[in-house]
Amino acid sequence: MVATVETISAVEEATGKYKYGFVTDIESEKAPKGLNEDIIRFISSKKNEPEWMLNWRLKAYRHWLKMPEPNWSKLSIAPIDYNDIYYYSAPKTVEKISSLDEVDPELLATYEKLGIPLKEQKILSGVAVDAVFDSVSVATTFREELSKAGVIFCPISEAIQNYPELVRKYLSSVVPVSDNYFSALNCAVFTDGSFVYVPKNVRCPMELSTYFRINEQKTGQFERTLIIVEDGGYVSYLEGCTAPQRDENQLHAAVVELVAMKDAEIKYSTVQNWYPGDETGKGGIYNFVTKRGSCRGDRSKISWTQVETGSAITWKYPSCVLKGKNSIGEFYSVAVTNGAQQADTGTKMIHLGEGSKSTIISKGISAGKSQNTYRGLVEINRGAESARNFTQCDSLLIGQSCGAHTVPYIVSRNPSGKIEHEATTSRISEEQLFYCLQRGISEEDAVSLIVNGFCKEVMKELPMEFAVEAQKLIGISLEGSVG
Amino acid sequence: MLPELDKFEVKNYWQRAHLDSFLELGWPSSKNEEWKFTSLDRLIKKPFEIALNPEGDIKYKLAPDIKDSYKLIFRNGIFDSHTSKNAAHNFTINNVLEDASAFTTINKSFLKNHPIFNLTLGAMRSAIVIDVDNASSDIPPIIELYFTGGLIEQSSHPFVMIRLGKNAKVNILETHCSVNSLSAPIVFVELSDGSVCDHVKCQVAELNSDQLGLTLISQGTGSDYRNFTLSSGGNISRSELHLNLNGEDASCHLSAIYLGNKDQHIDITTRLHHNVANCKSEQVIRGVLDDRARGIFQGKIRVAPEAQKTDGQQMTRALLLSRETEADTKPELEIFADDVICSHGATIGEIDEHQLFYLASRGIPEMEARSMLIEAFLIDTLSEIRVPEFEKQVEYYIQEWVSQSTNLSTLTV
Repeated sequence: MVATVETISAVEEATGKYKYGFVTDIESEKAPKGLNEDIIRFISSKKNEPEWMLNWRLKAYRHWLKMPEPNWSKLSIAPIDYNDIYYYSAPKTVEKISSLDEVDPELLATYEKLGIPLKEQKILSGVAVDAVFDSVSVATTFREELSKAGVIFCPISEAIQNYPELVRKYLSSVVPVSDNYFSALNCAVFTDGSFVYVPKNVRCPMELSTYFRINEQKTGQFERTLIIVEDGGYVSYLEGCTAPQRDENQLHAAVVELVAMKDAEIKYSTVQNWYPGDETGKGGIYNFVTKRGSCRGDRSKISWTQVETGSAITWKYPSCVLKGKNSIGEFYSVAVTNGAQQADTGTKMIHLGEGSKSTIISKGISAGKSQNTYRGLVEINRGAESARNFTQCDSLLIGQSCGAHTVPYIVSRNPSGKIEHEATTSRISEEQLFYCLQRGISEEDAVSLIVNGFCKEVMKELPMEFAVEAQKLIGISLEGSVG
Repeated sequence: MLPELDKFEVKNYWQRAHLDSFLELGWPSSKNEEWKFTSLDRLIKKPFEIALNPEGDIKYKLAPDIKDSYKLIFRNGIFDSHTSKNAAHNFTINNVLEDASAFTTINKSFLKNHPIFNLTLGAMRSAIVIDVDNASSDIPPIIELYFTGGLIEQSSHPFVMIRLGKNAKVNILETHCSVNSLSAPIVFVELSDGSVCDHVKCQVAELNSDQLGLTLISQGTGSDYRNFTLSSGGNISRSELHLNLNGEDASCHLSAIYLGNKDQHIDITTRLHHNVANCKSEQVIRGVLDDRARGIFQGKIRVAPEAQKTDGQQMTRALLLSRETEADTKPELEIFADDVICSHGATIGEIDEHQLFYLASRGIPEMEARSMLIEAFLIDTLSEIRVPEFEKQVEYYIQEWVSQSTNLSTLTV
C-alpha cells in the first residue's frame, strides 16, 4: 500500500530540517591531524593515563592496521582518509573545573540551544547529564546526589584515574579490542565518554544521560561508554547526539559496553540525531557504532531502545549476549531515513543461557533517495535450552527512489529453542489479537493498538525532551508497511 | 581440489572465459556473504577431476515409473542419447556447444561472478537445448531429466536449457542421483509469454556425493511457473534457484522440502527478482533435520523500482528432531518500489509438546505420533505439486528418507 498523507508529512517534519546545524565559536585545542602511534601517545598523556591504558591502546592500533575495512553492509561509503581527521579536540577552557559556574558560558549556551540545560536548577525532572563536546566531557551534573546512592557517574577519563581496577576489569570485556574495524579504531583513539557503576541492590535514583556534540571541523568523535550494574541494580541511561551542518563527512565511531550481573537491569535509550548531510548527500556524520550488552547474571535484563533519524550513514547493531539463565534481551528501534541517508542497522541476540528470551521490534521508514536496511542476527546456541525469540520488522517506503531492505540471520542450534520471525503486521500475537477481536475491535485497530502500546511502553520511559521527538516518529501510522 | 583448470581443454572460447573467471575468483569462502552458511572446505579437499565421458552404472531409483514421458539420461553429467527414450513427442533438441546463438542468452544471464555457474559453463562436455512449441496441445508433455551414473573421482557438469514458446506447456521432472564427487548441474528454463511450466526437482544423491545445483528461470508476460524442490541427498548439497520475472502479470510459486540426517549439510537458496510491475510470487519452504544435520534456507526477494504492485510472499519453517542439528535461515527482502506487498516469516523449533501430548492421550505411541506430526508439517507443501505423477515420486523419496532416519518410524505421506 502507498503511504498516507499524514505519514508523509510526519516523516518530513521529523527529518526535513536539521535544527541543530549551528556551530559554536569556541577556541579549541587540537592534536595534529592524522593517526599514528605518536597521536595515541599524545591522547594518552593528555588524559594522564596509566601505562596499561597506553599499551592497551597501542595494541588495538597495531591490530587495527592489519584489519580490512568492512564492506559487507548495504552501504556505499566514500573512502575515509583516516589521516585527515583530528583525533583530539577540546574546548580550551575546559581544564579542571570544580563546578558548573566555571564552565565556559559559550558552552552552556550551546547545550541550552540544543535543549539540554546543564545548570542544575533548570534541569527537568532530575536527569543527570554528562555532556561530551568533541573529545572531552565538559560537565557532569548531579554527581553528588548520585554518589550518595553509591552510583558512580563520571567521564570515563576520570574513571580511569579514580577507579582503575573497575575499568581494567570490564573495559573491552564485552567488545573485545579486535572485535571489528571501528571498535579497534575506537580503542586506539577514544578520548572520552561516560562511565557508570551501580553497586549491588541499588536502584539508580534518576535517569542518567550523556549528550554528545561534535563541533570542530574535521574532527572525529570516538567516545567510549561503559556501564556496569551489579546484582539487583537498575539504571536507565539515555544518549543524545547532534553535530553542526558541514559539507564534509565526519566520523563518529563509538563503543558502548554494558554489563548486567544477577537480577540487574539496564535500559539504554538513544535518540540519534547527527547531521544527516544535505539532500544531495553532501556532508553528514558517518555513524559507525559498536554497542553490545552482556547479560552475565541469571535473570538479568538489557533493553536497547533507539530512535534513529540522523547521520549520513548509520552502521550500528546494538546487541545482547544472553549468558545468564532466564536473562532477557530487548531491542526496539525506529529508524527513519530521508534525503540521501543510508542506514544499515539492527541487532544481534546471542542466546547462551537456559531460558533466555529476546524480543526484537524494528521499524524502518525510508523516504527521499535513502536506503534503510534492517540486519539482525538471532542465534540460539547448544546450551540455550528453551530459549525464545520473537522478531518483528516492518518497513515503509515513501516515494519511488528509496529502498527498504530486511536481512535477518537466524541460527538455531538447540531444538527446544523457539524462534519466530515475522514481517507482517497482522500476526504479532494470536492471543492478543484474539482478545481484541473478541471485544469487537477491528483487526487493523487491534494490530496498531498492540504495536503502539508496545512502543509507547518503552517511549514513556524516555525523559520529556526525548519523548516528544520519539513519540512523533512512533505515531507514524503502520499503514502501507512492508516486511 | 580441481587440477590445472587453466590447461583444461574446452570446446569454445567462451567456455575458456568462464573457466578463467572461476579461476580468478576461486572457490567461495565462508567470508563470501552468499556462502556464509555453506562452507565448501570438505569438498575442496577432495581430489577429483572433470568428467569427460558418460561412465558409471545407470542406477534407476525404484520410484514409480512415469508413462509417456520423454526421458533424457545424463551419465556422469554427459547426455547419453543411446539410453534416453522418446515417447511420441516432438521436441527439437540441439547441442548448445555448437549453437552459439542459444548461448548468448545464457552468457548475458544474471550470474556473472557465480563460481558454480562459471565452473559448469566452462567444464561442460555436452549441453542440450530443448525447444517446446506446443501452444495448441491440451495436455502438457512430461520431460524427465535423469542424472545418474558417474565416477566418484570425477565431477559432473551437465547443462540443460528448456525454452518454452509462446503459450507452450511442459512439465519437467529432474532426478539427481549421480555418484560424482561433485555434481554441479545447471537447468535453465525460459518461459515465453503465456507459457506454463510445472517443475519438480528431486535431489536424492548418495551421501558421498556433493551436489551444487543451479536452476535458472526467466519468465515472460503472463507466464506461470511452479517449482517444487526436494533435497534429501548428498553430503554437502546446495540447490540454488534464480528466478527473473521479466514480463508483467507473470506469477511463480516456489516450494521446497529439505530433509537432513547423519552429517548432511543441506542448503536451499532462492533469489527472486521482481523486475517488472504486477507480478506475484510465493515461496513455501519446510525443513526437517535429524542427527547432526545442518539445514540452511536463504531466500532473497528483490523488487526493482519499476516493479510496482508486486506481491511477494515467503514462509519458511524448520523442525529439529535431534539435539545436535542446526538450522540457519536468512530470509532477505530488498525493496525499491513503494507500492508493494511483501512479507516473509520464519519459525524454527521442535515438535510441539502439546500436540504430542494430545496424540499420546489418545493412545498413539510416541514414535507414531511424531511421524504423524511431521507428516502434517510437510503435507501442505507437498500438496502444492500439481502433477500427480510428480507428487508420487516425491512421496517415494520422502519415505525412503524416513526409513533411514533414526528418530522416526514409518511415515505415511
